[in-house]
Amino acid sequence: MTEPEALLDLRGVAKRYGQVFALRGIDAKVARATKVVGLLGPNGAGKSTLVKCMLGLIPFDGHARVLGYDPRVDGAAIRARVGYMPESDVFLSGMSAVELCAYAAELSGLPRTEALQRAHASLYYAGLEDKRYQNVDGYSTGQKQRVKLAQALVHDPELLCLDEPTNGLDPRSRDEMLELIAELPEKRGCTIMISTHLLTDVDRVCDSALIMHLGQVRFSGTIEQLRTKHDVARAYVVEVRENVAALYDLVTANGATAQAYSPVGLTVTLPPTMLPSDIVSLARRAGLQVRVLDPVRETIEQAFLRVIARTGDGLGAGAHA
Amino acid sequence: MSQPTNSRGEIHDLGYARYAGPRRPPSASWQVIARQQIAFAWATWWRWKLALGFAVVTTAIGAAILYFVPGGGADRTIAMTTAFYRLPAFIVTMTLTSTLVARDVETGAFGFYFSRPVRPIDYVLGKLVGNFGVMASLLVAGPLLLSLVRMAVAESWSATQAALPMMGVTLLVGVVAALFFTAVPLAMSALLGRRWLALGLWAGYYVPLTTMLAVMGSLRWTPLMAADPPHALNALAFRLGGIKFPSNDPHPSLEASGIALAVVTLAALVAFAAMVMRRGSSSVGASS
Repeated sequence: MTEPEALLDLRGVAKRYGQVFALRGIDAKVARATKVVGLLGPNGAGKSTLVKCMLGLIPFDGHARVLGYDPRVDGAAIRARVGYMPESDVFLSGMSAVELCAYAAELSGLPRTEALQRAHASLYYAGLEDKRYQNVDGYSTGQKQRVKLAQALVHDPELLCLDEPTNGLDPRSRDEMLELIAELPEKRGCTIMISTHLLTDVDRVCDSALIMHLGQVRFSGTIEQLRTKHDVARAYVVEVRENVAALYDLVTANGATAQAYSPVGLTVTLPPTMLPSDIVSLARRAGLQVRVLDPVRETIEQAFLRVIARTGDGLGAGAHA
Repeated sequence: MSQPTNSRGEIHDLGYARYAGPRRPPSASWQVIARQQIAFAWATWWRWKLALGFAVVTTAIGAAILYFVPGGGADRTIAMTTAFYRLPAFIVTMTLTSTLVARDVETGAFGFYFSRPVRPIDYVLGKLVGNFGVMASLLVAGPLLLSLVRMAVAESWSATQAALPMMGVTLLVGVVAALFFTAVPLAMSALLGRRWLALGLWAGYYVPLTTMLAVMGSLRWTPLMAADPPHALNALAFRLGGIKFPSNDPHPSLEASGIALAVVTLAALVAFAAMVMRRGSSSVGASS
């Protein structure tokens, strides 16, 4: 049985502008089953360049397949199947939301009647059904974000690239936008790629992440893996029924370091020679009842900073060849 | 089908089903852009309709002259009237064409186009064809209509046949003029990328600069007058139609006029395409 075509398959994708490297051999694979993937990285990480390469807008070195197509050859075919919601405004002056979305759908190849029907449906979906005949120029920031989502959705894309979708939104509008995004994969059968600096948004809607830094992929995997994957620290949360001081003495006597965070809980970092099950064994011998033994889960911010701060930056994006 | 107003980000799909029908090939997207250009021009009274009104009045007056003053001066009447269509054409360049691409640059519409299966050449072709259609409605349709009127009011079949070449001349001059009035303002708009600058450059080029060249040409070197588009287009109409100029003032030759118009229009087309290609690849994802 052949392996199903990945949504995104990048091998050694490199791009340089003159002497400056923007992408330094990107290797990443995103499976079709992925629902929402976060494309993360600080400014200058190469996210924009990667998106341009994926859409076949700029030439690059290496091998890439997006939705099964080669961006260098089939850029137009990819863009017909990808919806793009940019961070900046992309409105055509003097158009109503429904005209804009219908035009977007027609440019993506839909027949005129179908384009108009789907423009109404996508605006309804985005919560703008009562404002769809108004000129977009007069919309609020939140409404503009919704129009941008609707125009990206209108042609039934298989992959939806959202660039800072909650940028400039108040907390309530942000919640609503994230709700819409979270439900899209199930309702529309598309995969979403979110490029954002707001890590709490990623934590809320993404099931996997691609972290870039200095033109390289620093992490590719699920959010769960991101938050529990430790290269050095082997930290666990341990809770006992009572007498946490006795547990502290036990684990530190065996080479672990520990820190109490509550009257019944410790954060224990194990030495390489010690396994998590050893904590349970030690506790049982001392007559202590272990109630919780979990790996320490980082916040998404901590995980992101850990990945970004990892050594090996060497020559990165922005560095001269 | 009626659903409550979606104010909390709830999903309402109106019976959503994935579209599985045929899709237009990307190579046909220029047609969509061209149609949108015409719709955009038509949307307000001042972009196209005002100029069209001028053109209709010009045609009506020209037709009345041809009807009520028949005779040997008909060709000259038509050739002279073509000059009057350039005023509404210039109005359209000021209200529409010279700011179109700059507007797209300013509003981020390039990102809108090029994140879709639209190639720069489709954008260029769509803008050119759409705006050429608008210009042709003024510069081709009016003179052509006058030629038809002239043939209709001819006294004999042989007179009708004799009027046919003038119809070809009006068609050719109209197309050349429409191409010029489309390509040059669009190119300036693409080059500058700012609406007011593009508008100023086009107005400055068409009104004072080329007029000065025409004056200098009339005083020193007649071929220089061909650098003034109205003089060059007049020369084309009169010389191709074999019509005597109404005054004894100097006029550029047919060759100089043709070359000047062709060079400026071609240079504008190349500049327009080059600027769109350049702006196109940098427009998507620029801010992330």
